[in-house]
Amino acid sequence: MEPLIRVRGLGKQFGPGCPRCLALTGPEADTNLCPACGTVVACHGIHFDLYPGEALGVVGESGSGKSTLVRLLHFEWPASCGTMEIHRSALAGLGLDDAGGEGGAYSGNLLACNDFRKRQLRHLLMGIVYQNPHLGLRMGISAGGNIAERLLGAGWRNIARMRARAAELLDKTEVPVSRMDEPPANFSGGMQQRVQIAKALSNNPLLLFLDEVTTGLDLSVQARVLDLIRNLSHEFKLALLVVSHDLGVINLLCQRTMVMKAGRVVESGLTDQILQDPQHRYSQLLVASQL
Amino acid sequence: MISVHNLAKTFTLHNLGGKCLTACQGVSFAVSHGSFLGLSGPSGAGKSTVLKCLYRTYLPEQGAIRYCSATFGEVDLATLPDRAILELRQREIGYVSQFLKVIPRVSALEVVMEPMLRQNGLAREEARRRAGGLLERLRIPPRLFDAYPATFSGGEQQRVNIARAIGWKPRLLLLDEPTASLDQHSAATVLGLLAELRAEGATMIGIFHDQELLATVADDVCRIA
Amino acid sequence: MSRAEQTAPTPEQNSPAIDPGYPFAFMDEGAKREIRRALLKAVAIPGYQVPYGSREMPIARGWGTGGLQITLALILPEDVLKVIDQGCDGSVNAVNIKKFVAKVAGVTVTTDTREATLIQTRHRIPEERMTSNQILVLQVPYPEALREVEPSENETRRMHAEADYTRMWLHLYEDIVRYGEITISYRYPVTVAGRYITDPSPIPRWDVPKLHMADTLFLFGAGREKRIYAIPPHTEVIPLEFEDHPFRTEDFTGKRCARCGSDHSFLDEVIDDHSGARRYFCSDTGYCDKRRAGWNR
Repeated sequence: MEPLIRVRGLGKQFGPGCPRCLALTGPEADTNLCPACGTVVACHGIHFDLYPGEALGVVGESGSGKSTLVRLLHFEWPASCGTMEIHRSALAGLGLDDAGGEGGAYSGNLLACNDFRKRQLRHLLMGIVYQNPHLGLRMGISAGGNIAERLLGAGWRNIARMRARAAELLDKTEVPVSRMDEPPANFSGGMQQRVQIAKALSNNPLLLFLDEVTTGLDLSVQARVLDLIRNLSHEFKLALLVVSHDLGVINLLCQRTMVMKAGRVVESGLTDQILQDPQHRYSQLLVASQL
Repeated sequence: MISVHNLAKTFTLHNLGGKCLTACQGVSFAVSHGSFLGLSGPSGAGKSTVLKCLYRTYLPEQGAIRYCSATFGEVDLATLPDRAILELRQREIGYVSQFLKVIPRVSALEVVMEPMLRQNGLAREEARRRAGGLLERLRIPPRLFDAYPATFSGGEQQRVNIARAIGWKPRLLLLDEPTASLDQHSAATVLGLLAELRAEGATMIGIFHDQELLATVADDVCRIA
Repeated sequence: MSRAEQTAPTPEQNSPAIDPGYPFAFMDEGAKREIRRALLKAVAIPGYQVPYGSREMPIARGWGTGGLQITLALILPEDVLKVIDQGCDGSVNAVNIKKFVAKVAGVTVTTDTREATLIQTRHRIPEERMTSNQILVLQVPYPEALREVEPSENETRRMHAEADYTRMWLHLYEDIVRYGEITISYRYPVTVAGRYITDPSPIPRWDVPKLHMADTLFLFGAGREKRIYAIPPHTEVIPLEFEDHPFRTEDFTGKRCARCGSDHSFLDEVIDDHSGARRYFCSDTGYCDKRRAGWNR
């Protein structure tokens, strides 16, 4: 099996940048702020493959660059450097075959596509669930409408079919279908999160980003949301990129994990290996503080 | 089928000033296809470490672990890429830990069915039937099938654990004190199940603290010092 | 494009009616040229809003200055002008604009759609099918079709650039969910040439199909908002609709004009102050008059 996406040398800097930025930041320096020029090296040199149907964890403290990583891959922020390629088979039949590249199994660098193409790729291939439901949902528009938005973006133009799909997804995510035409502003935090998941799944994405999805929820609600994600990711054969500072969440969902610190990946491996035999100083500290 | 050469594992504890703990050293053995190798040795000698290195929960420090896989042919488990290890775990290598460590809020039946569905590609009904049969043989009453194993007694949990690990018939099974928390009767049932699996061609490497038990199941014993 | 190359008319073309205190057609040649350039760009990119430097007119912004500037930039002495306001040739605004253009350009005016070469209109498209020799100039109060869903101009420009129209569609979805149908009656958004979502100006739904594959050039001017856009002849103009909620025009089944008896034109409802009875009249007064004149002949 070949990777669904290949990410190479991905980085993001905020600030003017200087020749010493990379040497003066990172896990050894224990900062992502360049002392010479004030540039924030939010992440740098990220390198990984994500396979179809796999859940890859990204763990690290706040400010380690893990959310930046998601925003780069979801095309929300432009990357400063690096590439992201997708397997051509994922593009087949979507009318996106001209995503660059020179033949071969992989597309060109998706991060270099224009905004129009990026939006299409996002609508047809990706889903995202944010920690804050306000980022992923329009609070004034009905729950069903929120799901329809994604379908409309992917070109659906039949109200009855969109509503049937929204009802199906809300049912799967355990949101009462009777509340489909209510705005999520009326819902509890856990329910908003489930509407977000329903929205993210509506276009049958191949790639789902989860950015601290359970942070801030009650423990019992966390458990339900995680169970839901676990079941749905099997059912939908999703490739997941799970960002969390909670090793419990990572352990539950992910087979492989990357540990980030000060904008760099300091270690990557099998999740059970990271948890039981962490190699890097920082991974050991992280595991020791959590377990 | 699997041969270990000069395996060593050291833990470097960066947060204790880089202190190094050697868990095992110079371990070598070979297991032929379909046989059972027992690991013995005093507590703390690194028996579990060896099993975890084979399963790659621990990253081996030194040495080679040559394994003739059905999926990739001969590979070195010590250096095989993560993805390939996951592939082998999915398709041919099983591991029974001392304690049940499964996903919370999943019923006992689902716990056992899950690898059957994923690894053997069984239909749900067939998987349900097989998992139910297995649990009943391990004396888990059907009324507990839909309950969460987290609420079970230690012995019951361990029996669910074993059912999950052997239900999908792995080609190579790593056993870390599978019977430690079981009464004699249950332990005998487990040994019976292991014998059946071996009769179907599975290879096993196991740790049993009970030397007598070890002598009855193992074709060969490797002493870890 | 002979109109674009037009220069100031020679004295003998000048009708005696022209007010000598102003240049031909009121605006100076530089201003007219700038508007014509904007018009050419608008025609080249159907449905795209072209910014232009809206001039001061002797009527207030918001009273048709956008349409008027296009009319003035295009008009030739030999043109025949018709100006209508919500279908009516006789409304105060229509009459004033008509008088003004006649005064500064010396053109003939008419109320007959077929006779006119240039028609400036507010909120209606004439009932009679227009030809390739005619131009319809529409006055536009709010040129941005997406303004309803997005207040920021920066953002709507981005949405147009990326053809990111999901939120417009979502707006229609919510309308249907809430009310069972799309409730937009005027300014029904259309997709022009498969690309830009465009505001057709506040014409009723009734008139929207007339924009599709027409023989006539439609020019839209928004004076206050400083935008010009166009729908060239033979261009696809498709109202936003769902497969199971198709676009519908107003339904006047069983109703007819109380003046001319027409059962196939857009009707205004009038309630009689005394009897309280509802009566219907053609909104297009030129068309209504013509039908009545036809009986009398």
